[in-house]
Amino acid sequence: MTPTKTHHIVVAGAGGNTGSHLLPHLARMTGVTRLTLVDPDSYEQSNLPVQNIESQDVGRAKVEAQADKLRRINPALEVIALQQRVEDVPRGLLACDLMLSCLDSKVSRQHLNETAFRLSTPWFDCGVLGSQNLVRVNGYVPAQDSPCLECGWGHDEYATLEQEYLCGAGARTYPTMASSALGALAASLMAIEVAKFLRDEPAAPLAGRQLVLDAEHHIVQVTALRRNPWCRFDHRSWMVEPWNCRPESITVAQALAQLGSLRVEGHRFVAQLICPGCSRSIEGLRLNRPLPRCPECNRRMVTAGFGALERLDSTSANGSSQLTLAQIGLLPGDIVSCGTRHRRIVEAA
Amino acid sequence: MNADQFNNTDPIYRRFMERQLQDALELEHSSDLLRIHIPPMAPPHVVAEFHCTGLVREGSGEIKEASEFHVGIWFPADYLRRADPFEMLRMFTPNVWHPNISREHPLICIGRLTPGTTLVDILYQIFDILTFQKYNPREDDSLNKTACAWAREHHDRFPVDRRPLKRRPLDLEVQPL
Repeated sequence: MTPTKTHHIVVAGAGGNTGSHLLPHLARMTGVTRLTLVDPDSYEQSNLPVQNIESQDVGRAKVEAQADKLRRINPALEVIALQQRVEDVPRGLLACDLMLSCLDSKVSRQHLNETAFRLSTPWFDCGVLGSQNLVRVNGYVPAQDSPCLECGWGHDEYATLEQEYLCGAGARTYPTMASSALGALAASLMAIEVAKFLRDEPAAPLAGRQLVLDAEHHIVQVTALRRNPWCRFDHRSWMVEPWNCRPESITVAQALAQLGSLRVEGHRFVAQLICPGCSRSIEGLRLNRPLPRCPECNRRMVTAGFGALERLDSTSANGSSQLTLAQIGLLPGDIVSCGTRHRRIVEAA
Repeated sequence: MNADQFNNTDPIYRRFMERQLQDALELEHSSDLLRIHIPPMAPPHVVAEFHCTGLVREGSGEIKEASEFHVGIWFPADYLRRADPFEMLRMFTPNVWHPNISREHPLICIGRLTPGTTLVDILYQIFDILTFQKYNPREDDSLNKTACAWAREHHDRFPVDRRPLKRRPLDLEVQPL
């Protein structure tokens, strides 16, 4: 049976060891009509032996190099390339039928899990462990009592989330030491599960399961994942309504008059950014996305305690109420929450 | 502590915060060096007042001992899942002289902070910094590079306060003769 619906798939970590092998499979699948690729990085010489790229791709943005390749494979495919961390992409731009994670960062995976549950979108996550020739694919389908990524996390997982700070080592993503072959194996497993999902939706066969393939010892293991009642993530899904507005035209005061308050989950509003390296500071209300870097020393700029706001209201916006939403960093596609309502910024035609 | 004080509907977060404040108040009760204040906009804002010996640099450049330090601690709604150590802490006392504390801005760096780290653990970490039981010896990632160079030359003076944050119970049981 071939899929009859058209599908939009988002691939986060699209240009890496697994993602670069996965994308051509997706481009060839019947039913996949739109792909959104998310990856902040560019190709380096060291990527050549372990990723599905060619020497002329070195130096190019991963998403751009992959998008060009996909358009050559399937000219009818709509490809959207976002050279950003998935955490920085406005959540509304990730709305799709299926999200795929080929990420090497726990923080990014955590964010994608949160987004998938908020938008009630199934997502598959894959990983490789080069030193042991292990490949894993997990499937999460948001539903009442269905497990999420964080349901399986304990203290150790939270303790090893990447974090950038001074006074010691900064943010670090450890290389998976995976060969091109192992990345391709993970990509093939993921692609097979995607094809099954497209065919069998909504009864996704991988829902709530982890498939591990131990290529070292020729063992396949399937584990059923369970909802953890003490999971730190609340698993809430959102009913998102469109909000027709132009962020560059509407002021904070006008937005607050319409909505009462503004909140963009996963980010904070800050009034001052400080460079912990050279002490330079930048004043002005803004959403802390993307995490800004110091123009002098390139360190991540931070906000001192009690200086960040989870929610902007007329009191806290005092002095900045005439700035536009674009000036404080909101973008089309952002999902703005006010109380229990969630509005996606849709630019009026 | 009343659960209604928390502006967060997540029951796991509320239970966590209630426990944190209860444990911190217990620590305060058994400490000669710590006072906990909960400002009007809180919880989840807490101000810890440390009555320990630490160092400040005066306008004249002289480095002197001081005995009172105020540090603010904020627990964002998603603290159990993600943590930004800078965003959570604010050094209210000016001119503190320490490699991990900025002189220009109210920044204090306690290093890696795992989401869900307890308030009591954070209080101990701040106390260790204020008393120089813990400091960053590397100038390139220090908040106060001059204090960092100074600390390397004067490490024999540390810690500047050896008293424990939690009062040790005295075992005064007297055996009958």
